Amino acid sequence: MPRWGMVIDLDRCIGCGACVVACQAENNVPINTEDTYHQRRAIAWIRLERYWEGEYPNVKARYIPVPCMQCTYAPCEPVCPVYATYHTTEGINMQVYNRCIGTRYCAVNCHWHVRFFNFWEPKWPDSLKNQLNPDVTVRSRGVMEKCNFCVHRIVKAQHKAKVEGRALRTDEVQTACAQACPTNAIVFGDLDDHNSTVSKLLAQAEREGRVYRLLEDLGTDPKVYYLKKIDLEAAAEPAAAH
Amino acid sequence: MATHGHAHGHELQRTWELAPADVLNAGLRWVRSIGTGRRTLVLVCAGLFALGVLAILAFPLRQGFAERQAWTYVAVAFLYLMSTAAAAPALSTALRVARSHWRRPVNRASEIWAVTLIIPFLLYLILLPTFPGTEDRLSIWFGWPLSPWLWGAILLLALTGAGYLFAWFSSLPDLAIVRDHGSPAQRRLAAWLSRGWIGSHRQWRFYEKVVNNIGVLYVLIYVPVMTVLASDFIIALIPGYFTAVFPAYFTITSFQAGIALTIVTMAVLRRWGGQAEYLGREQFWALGKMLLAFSLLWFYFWWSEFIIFWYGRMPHEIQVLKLLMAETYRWPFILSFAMNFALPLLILMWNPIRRSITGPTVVAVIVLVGNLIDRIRLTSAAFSQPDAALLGHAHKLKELPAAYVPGIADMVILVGMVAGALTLVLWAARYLTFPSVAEVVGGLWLRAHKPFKHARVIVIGKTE
Amino acid sequence: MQERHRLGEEEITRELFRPLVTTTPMMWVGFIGLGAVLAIFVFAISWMFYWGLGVTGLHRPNMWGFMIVNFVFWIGISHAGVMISAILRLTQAEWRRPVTRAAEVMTIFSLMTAMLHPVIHTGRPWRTLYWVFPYDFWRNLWPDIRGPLVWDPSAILTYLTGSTLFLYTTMIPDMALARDRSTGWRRTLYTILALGWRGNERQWKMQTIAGFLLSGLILPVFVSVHSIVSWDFAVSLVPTWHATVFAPYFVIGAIHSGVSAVVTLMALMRWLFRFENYIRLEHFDAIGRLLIAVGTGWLWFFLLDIFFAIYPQEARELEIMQFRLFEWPFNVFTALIFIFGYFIPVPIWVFQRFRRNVKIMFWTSILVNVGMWAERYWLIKPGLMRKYEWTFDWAWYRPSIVEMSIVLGSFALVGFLLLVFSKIFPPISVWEEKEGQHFAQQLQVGKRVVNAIVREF
Repeated sequence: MPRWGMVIDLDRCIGCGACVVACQAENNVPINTEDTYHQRRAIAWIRLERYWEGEYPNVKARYIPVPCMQCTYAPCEPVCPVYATYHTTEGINMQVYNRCIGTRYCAVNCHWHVRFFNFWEPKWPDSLKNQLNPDVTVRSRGVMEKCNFCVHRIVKAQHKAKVEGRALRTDEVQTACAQACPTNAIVFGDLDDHNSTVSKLLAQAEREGRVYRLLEDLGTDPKVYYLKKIDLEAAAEPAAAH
Repeated sequence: MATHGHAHGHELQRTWELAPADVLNAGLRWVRSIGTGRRTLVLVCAGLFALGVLAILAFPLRQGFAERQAWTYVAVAFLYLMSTAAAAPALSTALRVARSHWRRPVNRASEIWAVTLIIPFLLYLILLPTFPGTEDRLSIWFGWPLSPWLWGAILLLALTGAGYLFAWFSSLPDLAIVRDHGSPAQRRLAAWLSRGWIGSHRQWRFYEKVVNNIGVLYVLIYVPVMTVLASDFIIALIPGYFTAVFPAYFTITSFQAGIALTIVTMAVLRRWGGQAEYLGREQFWALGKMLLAFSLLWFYFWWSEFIIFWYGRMPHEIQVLKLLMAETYRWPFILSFAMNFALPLLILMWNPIRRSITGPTVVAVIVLVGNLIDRIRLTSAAFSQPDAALLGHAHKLKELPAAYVPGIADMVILVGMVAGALTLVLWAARYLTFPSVAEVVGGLWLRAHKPFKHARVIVIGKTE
Repeated sequence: MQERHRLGEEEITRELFRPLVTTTPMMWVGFIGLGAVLAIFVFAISWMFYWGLGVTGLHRPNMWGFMIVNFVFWIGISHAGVMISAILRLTQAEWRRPVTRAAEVMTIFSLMTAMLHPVIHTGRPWRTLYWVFPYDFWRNLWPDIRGPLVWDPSAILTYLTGSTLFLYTTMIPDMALARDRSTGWRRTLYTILALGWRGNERQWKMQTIAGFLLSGLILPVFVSVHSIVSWDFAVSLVPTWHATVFAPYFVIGAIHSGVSAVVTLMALMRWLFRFENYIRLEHFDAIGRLLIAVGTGWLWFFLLDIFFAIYPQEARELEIMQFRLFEWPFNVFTALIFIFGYFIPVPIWVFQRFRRNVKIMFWTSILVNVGMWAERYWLIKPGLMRKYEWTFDWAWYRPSIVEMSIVLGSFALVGFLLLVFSKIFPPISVWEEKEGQHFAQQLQVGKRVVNAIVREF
């Protein structure tokens, strides 16, 4: 049984936002217009947060892509009254759109702000309607949605492996964001597989003392690992970007 | 409010059929009866107290103030006296403010415990040096200069003062009786204390107004004092114990113990003090109900804290749960849970038991022991942290300390301090009448026999 | 207590039934005014259902807003009924008699109003109902009982059922009285509701026992309801919500605002229905004294909450505390809570002269509830606006006109329902008043005449 996880190397991240766009296209996320941004209702399963450090002219932009952390002990899960959010055996924190009744408690109790509510009926321009991904449900108004590590890709790969009568190969699955990342800052894979890229990256970064997770002290055991930026000028820590 | 006879098998308290002179005679009987039994008891208690003081001098004091763990049982004795003896007068005030009549013979039994306040006050003073200043550690004082030492001592002093004033003013009329009718030995002190009480209209007005107000003042000081003690003695000494409900838990469970102490005092007075006519089922039933209610509150306040920690699953909270409930002090916790909540609930659930003398008394004894175990559990856990674990605004309990097992000296200290409180109460009882003549007769004045439908009933007026 | 009059039974019946048979102009004003606001309320909700929750001011991270705040507020108000009736009935406080009925009815109506909020707050309430009525057992997908939002409806529905039974039990004798004095549809209604009440000894005994039992049983429910509502917030990890004190703090706050609402209601009833002979100054006096104790208890818990939120000195919690204590508009809310919730009303209530002044009691009770509404808002919103270190995602919450209409309308809804109730059922318990008259005695003590009560144990 794989335990899916992700490693995001902030030293490689250039803040291009390709992951955000890829995710948007892959997962049928509605177009975020200027209005929805201003209403703060934009949906971005992975978002790029930008923090400014220092004062002009010595200012630095720090980028951090934030997908769902897929916490092992996710605080959003027990608070849902209808099991619309639950934990899969492979460690993914799933959202069942058809069960969701819209209490939004999961979003309140998610401290990484990675759960999104469909305040409006999702709309696409006619020209984009044929580009919707047939593997992913289009969510209606009134339900929560969130990153699920491109679970449809995982399922598809597992199905293919089963048809071919073999086990899933190491690093056979990639999420859309990882695939789109031009600098390979985002890496997805099985944390329990010692040969997977994530495990190797983690092992190496552990030795360098670069590994951390967001809000680790809450004890939720997130499965998205960040590798610190190597900053020769200042040993600044993006996690502490207050 | 009134009582009336024989309905639904409820027997009327004999008190309401007595004449005022009977009450006076009963009070005088108490004042004149200083048997050898009581004298021996006082001597034994005083002896134990002296032993306890010696033990404090010989053990914790010799180890020095820096060794906080050695002071654990001094703190236990202090907190236990604050939870029981100091809570009882608060109960008395609550009953006065609620203006029910059944409380009249009860008040003295709870107010007299205010005379013990000097012992916890002194214990507090010698415990203060064991605490580090609050500049570099988490505390409710937020690094305020001279905290916790000076400000805590001022609060405790205010409480002690209010307590003694309360005990004093509430017994003024009875002190005058002792002054006029007591033995020469009793007269001297009573005469000084009764401050020329002659029962004039003005003095009675003073009595009615001032006693209530001082009682309320006492409660208003008691609650912040317990809040500060809970925070200084327990919360601030356990890193990562971030709880806002604990001071409320500490205070409410102290009220519970205060009620239990009053019930036990009443039972003793009834059995050995010849108060059967005044402290009857009516009083035990009413206080039994309160004890049941407060036992439920014990659970409620404990659960309010537990569910948040347990559900939240933050590592520092789980660590505290392990220390206080699940691992280190598991058995003290289970015992405390059983004796403060489960047993009182199971026993007092039944009205026939609540309505008896034995039922509430037995439960009160259980609660008094349970409260002691609870205080031992909390204090031992809190006092096991060295200063180094607290300084630098420590946010997390690094590792679970071992449970603190008391030695003989600890036991001697604990027993000695409780015995000291008993000594003071027994001594004070010499100068006071039981029952409180002023209170009980005051109720009798408001009593009348009246026809009601086919029966004659006793009606007791309720002044507004 | 000098103002107590001896009233004949017939007189009591006639006067207490008066609102049922005569509609004064002021009552018409009430019906029309409240009805108009209610229409806005219905329109706002329909608008929201049609367009979706986009028409509210909710967004990420402010997923909960005015509707949840208002929900907590109305749950708080609903605690008055049981506080007054059950506790005062068990302790046999005489002054409860004229206020029990109104307080219980207010409990029920405010509970119903409160329950409306989380349901409409989902935006698609039919989805909620879909999972509940009928429950599809066949798929073996049960509600998640770990979720506070499952505890919530369980507690609230239990409370609603219990209080309705409680109210109904205490209404049966009055229904029989009304049955015997009415014609037409009213007679049919009262006949059904009176359940064949004849007032014989056995029936009275059963009714008394049922009343006492229900009071006793409902008390734990009463404490649990607001505790569970508080756990909706406290079991989450949102800084300033994750506080152990929330349960007792919410309960005492609920009692504070609920009992104040009863004072408001008493003053209104006294004025609207001319019940001066029943809702007397001594009742305001007694309830004012109770409020001093409740208010002070609430202040203690409020301060505990503030102090121990600051105590850990954690950046993320301090950030929110700083925000809600010192920054506009929360600094104003903080002031409102302290001043309106405690420092104006309680010092006033200390004086008997003011406690016996209906106007002062009315306005102070309104103040308390303004303060308590602010308190609910103050407790719930800042934690979401400044949740954890993500300054990138911090955002203000501005309620939209739709949400404001819903909040305003909820007050009209409760008022309207209360008014309708008092057109159909006597707003003061007639039999309890009469029973009180029987028990009331006067005693000559020295030169003074003292009021006294005969009581059964």
